[in-house]
Amino acid sequence: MRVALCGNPNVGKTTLFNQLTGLRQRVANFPGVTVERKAGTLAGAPHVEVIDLPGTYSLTPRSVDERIAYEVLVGRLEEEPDVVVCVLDAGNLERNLYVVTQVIDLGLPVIVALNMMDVAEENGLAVDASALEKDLGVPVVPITASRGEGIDELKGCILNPPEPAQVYRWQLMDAVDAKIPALIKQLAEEAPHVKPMHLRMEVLRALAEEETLDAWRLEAPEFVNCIVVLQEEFAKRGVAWRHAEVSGRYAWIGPIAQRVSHRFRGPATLSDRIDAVFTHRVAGPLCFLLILVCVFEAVFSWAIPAMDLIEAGVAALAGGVRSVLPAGWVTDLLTDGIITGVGNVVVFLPQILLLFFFLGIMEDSGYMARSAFIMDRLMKRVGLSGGSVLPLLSSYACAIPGIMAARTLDSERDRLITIMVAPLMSCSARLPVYTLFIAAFLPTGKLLGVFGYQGLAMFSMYMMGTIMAFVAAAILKRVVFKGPESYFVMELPPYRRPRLRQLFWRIYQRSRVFAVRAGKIILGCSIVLWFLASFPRTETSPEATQIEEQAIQERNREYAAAQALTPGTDLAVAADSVALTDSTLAHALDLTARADAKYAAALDSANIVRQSTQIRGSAIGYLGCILEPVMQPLGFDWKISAGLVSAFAAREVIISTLGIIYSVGDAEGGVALRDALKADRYPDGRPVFTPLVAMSLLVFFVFALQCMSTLAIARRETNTWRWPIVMWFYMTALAYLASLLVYQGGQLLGLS
Amino acid sequence: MPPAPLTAFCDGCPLKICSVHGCAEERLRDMGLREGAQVEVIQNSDKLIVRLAGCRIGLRRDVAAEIYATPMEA
Repeated sequence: MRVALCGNPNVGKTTLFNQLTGLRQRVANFPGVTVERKAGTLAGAPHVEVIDLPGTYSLTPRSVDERIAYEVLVGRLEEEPDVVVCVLDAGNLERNLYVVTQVIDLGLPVIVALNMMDVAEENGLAVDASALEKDLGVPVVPITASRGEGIDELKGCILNPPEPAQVYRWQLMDAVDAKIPALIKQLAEEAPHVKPMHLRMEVLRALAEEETLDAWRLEAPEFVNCIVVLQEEFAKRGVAWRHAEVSGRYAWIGPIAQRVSHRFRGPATLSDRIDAVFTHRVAGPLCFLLILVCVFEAVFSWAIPAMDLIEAGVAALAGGVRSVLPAGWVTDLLTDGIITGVGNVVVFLPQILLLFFFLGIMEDSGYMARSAFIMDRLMKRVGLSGGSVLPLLSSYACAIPGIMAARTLDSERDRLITIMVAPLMSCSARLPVYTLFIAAFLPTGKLLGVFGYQGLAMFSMYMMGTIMAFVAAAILKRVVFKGPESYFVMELPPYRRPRLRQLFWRIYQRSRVFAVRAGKIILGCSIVLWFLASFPRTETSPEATQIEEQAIQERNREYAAAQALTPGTDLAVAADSVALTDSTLAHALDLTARADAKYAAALDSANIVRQSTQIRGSAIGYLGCILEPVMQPLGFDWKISAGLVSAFAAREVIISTLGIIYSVGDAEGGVALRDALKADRYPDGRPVFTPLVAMSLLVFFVFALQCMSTLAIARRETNTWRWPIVMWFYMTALAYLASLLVYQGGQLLGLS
Repeated sequence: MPPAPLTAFCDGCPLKICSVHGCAEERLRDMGLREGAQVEVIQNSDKLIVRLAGCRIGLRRDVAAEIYATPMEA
C-alpha cells in the first residue's frame, strides 16, 4: 500500500513525513528529473510506503516540482498512490483547500491532515474540523505535526482508507463547461492511454496552461487545435476562460473556509514586527549583509580544525597503506592517486556541512524567504529574481549544492541563467589556491594601517567573481535567453524556531548526496590524473642518482672519520651497547648519527628530484609544454600550465602538482612550496613568479571553470550537455582574457 | 471608489481584490490572490507585503501594480 503526502509549501509536510516514518526513509531522485523522491515506511506498518511529494500550490504545474507532484498522483511516473494525505495549514485554509479539490477530482481517496492547529490558535483562529469534514466529504484529522499530536489518529485513518469522495462538486462557468465534453471526447480518441477518470483534469490543465498544451502537440494535434480555436472564440466573446477553473474551485471552497474557521482575535503580529526590521528598505539589506558576514566568518574559521584533522587523517591513511603494501605502481595509484585525490574533496566537507547548517537555519526559521525578498530589487537589475539568491549564496561553498538549489525557481529561464553563473561565485576549492599565492606574493603591510593587503586581495577575489556573475547573468538574459520579464511573488512564512533534529537529518541527507556524487567523479578523475602524471615512466634520473651517490660517499667518509677517533671499537656494534661512559666514544657515535640523518635527508631530496623528472617527462608535463606558448602571454610557464591542466578536474589539485614539480614534496601550501615558487628562475635569470604573474594566475582561477563535478551536475540539472559545454567555454574564455588583460596591462604599466 | 493598484494603498488597509493582470497572474491566483479575495497591505515600500487569510505574500512592485483592489468598508 502506498500513501502520498501532498500540500502547499511550508505547511509542515516534511515534519509530518518524519513523524509518520520515524526517519526510516530513503532519498532518491524521480526518474529522469532531479527532484528528490523521499519515501519511507509507515512506523509500525512496514507494508505501507509513504512518499513525500514536493510542495505545490496547485496541480497546474508552473515548476518542475509541481509537475512531478501531478505526475505521481496520476500514476505517470510510478504506480499511483492508494491514498493521498493532503496536509493543510489551518491558518490559511482557503488557499490550502485549492489543491485538495484538485486531488479529490483525480478520483483518489483523500485524507485531510489539518496541521498547525496550535499556530492558528495562537494567531486567534479556530478551525472546526468536523464541519470541514462534512463540507468536503473526506475525513479530516486535526494534527500538530511538530509536537506529534494527532499522528496516531492519522495513522489509523491511513490504515483504513476512505472511499474516493465525489468528484467535481464545484461549478465551472457555463460558457466553458459547455465546451468541455467535446474536448474530453477528442482527447480520449487521440490519447487512449489517459485514464477516463483523468480526462477532465487534463482538459482543464491544457486549457489554462500553455506548457501543458504544448506537451500535447505531437500526440494529440487535433485536440490542441480544438483548444486553440476555442481560446480564440472565448477571447472574442470576452469569456474569462483562463481562470475559469480557479474561480470555480474558489467559489466552492471560499464559503467552506469561511464557514469552518472562526477568528476570535486580531492576527498575531510578532512575525510582522520582525519583518518591519528584516524587510525594511534600509535596515533589511544591512541585516542581510551582517548575517552573511557572520555566516561566512563562521564557515571559514570553524571548519579549520576539522579540515586539519581530515588532512592529517588522509596523510596517515596513505602512509599506512604504503607501509603495508609492497612498493609498486599499484600502491602508488592507491595512495597518491585515489586516497589523496578523494581526500582533496573530503577535506571541504566540514565547510560544506557548516554552510548547509547555516543555510538550513535560515530556511527553517523563515529568514531565507525574506532574504530572497529583499534582494529581489538588486537581482532584478541583472535580470534575475530574488529566488536566485539562495542558489548563488550556496555556491560560495560549492557550486554543486548551488546548482541543485536552483530547482525551486519558477521560471525555467531564471533557473538556467542561475545555473550558468553559479560557478563564478568563488567556491571553497579556490580558497587554498588563493591562500597560497596571496601569502607568497603580496606584501603583508596594511592599507591605511587597518586593512591588510592580503585580506583585501582575498576579498577582491570574491568580489570579482560575484560581480562577474551578475554581469554574466545580465548578458545571458539579454543575448541568449531572451523573453518576457520574470516576475517575483513569494510567500513569507511565519518565523519559526528551527528544529535541530530535523535540521541535522537534512544536512546529513544533502551532504551524503554531495559526497557520493562528487566522490564518484573525483575518484575517476584522480585515477586518470595519476596515470597522466605517472606515465610514460621516466625510470632514470641522472640528477637523482648523482645525489644518492654523493650521499653514500659522504656518509662513508664521515663514518671513517668517526671510526678513526676510536680505533679499538667497532662503532656499528658499540651503538647498541649501553656503556657510553667513554666521552670519545660518545662523540664518535654522535658523528655517525648525524651522518645517518644527513644521508636520509639526501635520499629524500633525491626522491623528490626523481618525482620532478618523472612529471616533466609525463603526459601532463608534455601537455604543459604544448600549452606553454598559448599561456605565455598570461605569464605562465610550462610548470604553471601543467598545473592548470591537472587542475581541470578540481582546482586545488594545482597545489599538489606544483608541489611535485618544484620538488618540495607534499607540502599543502606550505612554506617550502612558497619559497620554491619565489626562487624559481627562467634560464635567462628572470623570476618565473612575480607578483604580476601571481595576480594573473589568481584572476584565472576566479573565472575558470576547473571542476568536473560542476560540469557533471550541470549536465544532470539541465538534461543536456549543451549548457555545461557553453558554460565551460565562456568561463575559460573569460579567464584567459581577464588574465591576459591583467598580465599585459600590468607590464604596460611597468609592474612586475 | 474605482479600483486602484495595490501600490496605491497605505499600510494596514483592508482591501478586496477586483482584478489581477500581468505575467504573474496565474501564479498569483494559485496562491490565493484572486478576484474577490480580502487582503491587507502590511508594507508598501520598494516592495509590498500583503496579508491574505493567515499568510503573508511578498510582491515585487511591478507585480503588485497589476493587482487592482478597492478598500473594504470597516
